[in-house]
Amino acid sequence: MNPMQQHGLNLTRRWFLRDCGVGLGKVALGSLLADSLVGRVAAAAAAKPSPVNPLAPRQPHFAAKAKRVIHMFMAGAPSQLDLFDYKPELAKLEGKPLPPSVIRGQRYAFIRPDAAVMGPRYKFAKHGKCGAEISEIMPHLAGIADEICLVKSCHTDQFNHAPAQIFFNTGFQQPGRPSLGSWVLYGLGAETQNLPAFVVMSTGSGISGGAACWSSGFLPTVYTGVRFRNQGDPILNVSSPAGVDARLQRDSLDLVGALNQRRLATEGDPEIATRISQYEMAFRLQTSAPELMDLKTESKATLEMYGCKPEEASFARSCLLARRMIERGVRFINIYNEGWDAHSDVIGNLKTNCGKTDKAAAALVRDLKQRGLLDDTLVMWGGEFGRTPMVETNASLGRSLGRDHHPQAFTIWMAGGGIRPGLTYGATDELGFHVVENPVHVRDLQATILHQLGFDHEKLSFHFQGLDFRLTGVEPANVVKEILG
Amino acid sequence: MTAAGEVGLKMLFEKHYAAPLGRFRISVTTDETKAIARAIEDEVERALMLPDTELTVGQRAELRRAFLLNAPELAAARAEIDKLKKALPAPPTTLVMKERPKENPRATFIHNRGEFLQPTEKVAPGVLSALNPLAADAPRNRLTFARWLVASENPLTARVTVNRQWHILFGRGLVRTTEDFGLMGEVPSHPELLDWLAMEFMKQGWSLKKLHQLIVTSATYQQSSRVTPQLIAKDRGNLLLARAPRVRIEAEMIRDATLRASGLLSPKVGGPSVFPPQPASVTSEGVYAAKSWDESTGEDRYRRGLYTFTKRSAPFAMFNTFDAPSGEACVARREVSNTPLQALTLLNDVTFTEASQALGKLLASRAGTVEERVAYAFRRVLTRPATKDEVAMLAKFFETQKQRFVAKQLDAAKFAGTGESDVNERAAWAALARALFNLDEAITKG
Repeated sequence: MNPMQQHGLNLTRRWFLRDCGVGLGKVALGSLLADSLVGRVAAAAAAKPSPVNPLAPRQPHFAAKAKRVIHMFMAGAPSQLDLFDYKPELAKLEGKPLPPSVIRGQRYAFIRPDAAVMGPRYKFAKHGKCGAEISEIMPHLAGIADEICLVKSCHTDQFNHAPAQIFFNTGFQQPGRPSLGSWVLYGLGAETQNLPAFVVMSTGSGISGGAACWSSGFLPTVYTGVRFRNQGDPILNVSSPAGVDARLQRDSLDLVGALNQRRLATEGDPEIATRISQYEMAFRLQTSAPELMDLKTESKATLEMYGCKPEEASFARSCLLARRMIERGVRFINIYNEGWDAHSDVIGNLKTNCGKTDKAAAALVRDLKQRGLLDDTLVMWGGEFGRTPMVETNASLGRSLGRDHHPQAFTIWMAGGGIRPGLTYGATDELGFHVVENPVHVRDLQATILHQLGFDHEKLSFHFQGLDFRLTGVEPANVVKEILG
Repeated sequence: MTAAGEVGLKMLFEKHYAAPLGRFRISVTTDETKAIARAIEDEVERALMLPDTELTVGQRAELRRAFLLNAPELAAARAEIDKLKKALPAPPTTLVMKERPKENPRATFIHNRGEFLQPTEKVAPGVLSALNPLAADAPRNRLTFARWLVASENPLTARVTVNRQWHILFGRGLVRTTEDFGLMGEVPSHPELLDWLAMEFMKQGWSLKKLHQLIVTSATYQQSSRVTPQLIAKDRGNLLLARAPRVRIEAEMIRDATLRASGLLSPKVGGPSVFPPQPASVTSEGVYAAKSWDESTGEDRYRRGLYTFTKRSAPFAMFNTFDAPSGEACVARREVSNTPLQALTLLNDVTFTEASQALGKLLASRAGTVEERVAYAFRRVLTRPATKDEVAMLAKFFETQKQRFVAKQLDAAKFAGTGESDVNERAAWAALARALFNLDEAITKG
């Protein structure tokens, strides 16, 4: 072996060269080798991101309850007062303003602080053995009441959609910080080399926070969430151009690989070795992505449980795809459903959005459980803030019977991943305005999720521009121990 | 209204989004005459009432102006003038900062944790005490600060600037932390060189062009990037620059270089942003204020990357994939990642396919043997002559693919794009061009 090759081998990416090089890189053999090799790397990897492959699997700070996360982000902010946080007192006060002592100087975008109270628009009942109160508009969620943990005392710092969504995902209200999914990849690496480890799906009308919600911020860009699209290629450019068949693609990769290999031999630059291996992974993605998207192998019963039509992009299909991704080793999944911003017609808004999401979200939890995946998969459902107990009415904007933004209190639910099922945690006052029991700040949720994944949120940090940044920032953040199983 | 009596007026104030009604007024009159809006200004009307002898020069000019603007008999001439005026190109304009008047400076405070509602200590303009001071008698304003910033006694600005240029050319600054020259930044690897370059930069009138020339004509820059075991043993990370660095070029440059080598790149400078092709789903799905990405056609399809339209919530996909920051936060130093999504982009993206087709067409219509044309394509894409082996490997690939196209194992018409020459030839050359664009060397400077 010549000295240049020796140099290349000495460099940290040596296994790519030896095992994923041209000739050996055929699909099946390539992926088999890659996975077994990844296993070997994992055994040797420390908790610190290795300089080798930024996505190599790594051990967290302590034993984790959850290995993977599915976050169903209900962008636009669902009305907790009509879904989870039942306040009969509001019905009694309907039409009357709230006292200023409750409002405490809060200013609103659309309503006046003395706007009249609006009672719950839907009926509530107790469900499951645990007796969780859930609105009639979510019958499927009611059916899994004993599997989920309702947190009714969430609160946030942010009043508007984009900053609040970015804050929920990145711990900071302005774009530029790494998202939760990026931190998780940075900390844990990837379980699969055949699919992106952090996937983002969206079937709603549009996310105000935009790409900042799944950005890697100042972390290396390999930790950015990869969008799965509804139309065209699910992963951009995963299909070869028209007229290129598998053999031409393979021949091209072999030629490119062989020429790159020669260059590596003379230059000794490890980036060339990485490039060779990334081309092989791209080739595998061209097979694994269509395989993932192909729902033909799903039974009729499963499709029916989710309410999923295989050819139609929908929240339901995203949920089913999320389960398939979890089975294939994807680490972190965001499913966005934007459209809960009920400034008008709360009744119609919830009917539409619950119609789209309730069945599938509940099916996802059931399906993960029946496949034994719920124990180490943390599922979360919720928006960026809550909605006001007061009504929003505005003739010039054509609005009536709506609710404005409400950062002081909102509800989310979690399931699996070591979260205590059948628990309702925290409480708001009788008007649903302020949290009065066991407040859970967005930062506390972030700390809790990281904890379930095996991280001390104060120790998972990244040095950038002279500071050790972390997801939860410098304000106090606490793991919510009471909701852990 | 005819009868006397009370009138009730009920008003409902609402906001349209963030905008309530501005200044409004209600006027009441007992005059029966219907009010008519006048076309004539108050001053002009007053002047018209005056006797001729009392008119000032200014008022006369004002009356003349009003006459010229309003007289019906001049309407045709005015239309002509308006038309000519409209034909004039609008001068380019830009927003500028203006110093506030001395007697009305803005009070500036340190805010508690940056919270704008919590001002604490009031502060005055000044510079860091560790650096050279401002002239004692100079007013504390923007002009003074600008002069201080580029004063020859202050080498910092020039140092930071030359370091960033060095970073762009070498992939690593003389101070590695280009964004941080402070306590938490790294110390320079070559402090004297950094200082000399900074002084030279100032001496040459802060000309970036001259600075680039100075660096790229240096022996250090023109070295080979080839490494030897001795060099590795002595300096694995190439801190001492005994060899040229290998740097993967930036997102926009990858696009520009590919389009240039294919012959498609438009040299047009300036003008409104353009919309090069990208999958529709990038801007249509899950994006706030989704908009359709109306692909540019003709020349605008192949402009340099920097003219690409930027949408905050949905950045241009190819740039995003190759580590271009979204522009939401200031990034002095880009990440350089190496991912499968990048491979998929270079292999399958529309722009890169069109570049392959364009180069394929060019090669198909070029005279010479297959080997000669392979060598030509290689040089065009990689800017160096190919070795014999490399030519042989590429020529073999070309022949194999051509046979497959001829045998109709592959649909040449689908892959080749448009053109007059033999479709199988064009398709096979396009396949070869595509392979070249995907080489590590094609996107790496070294």
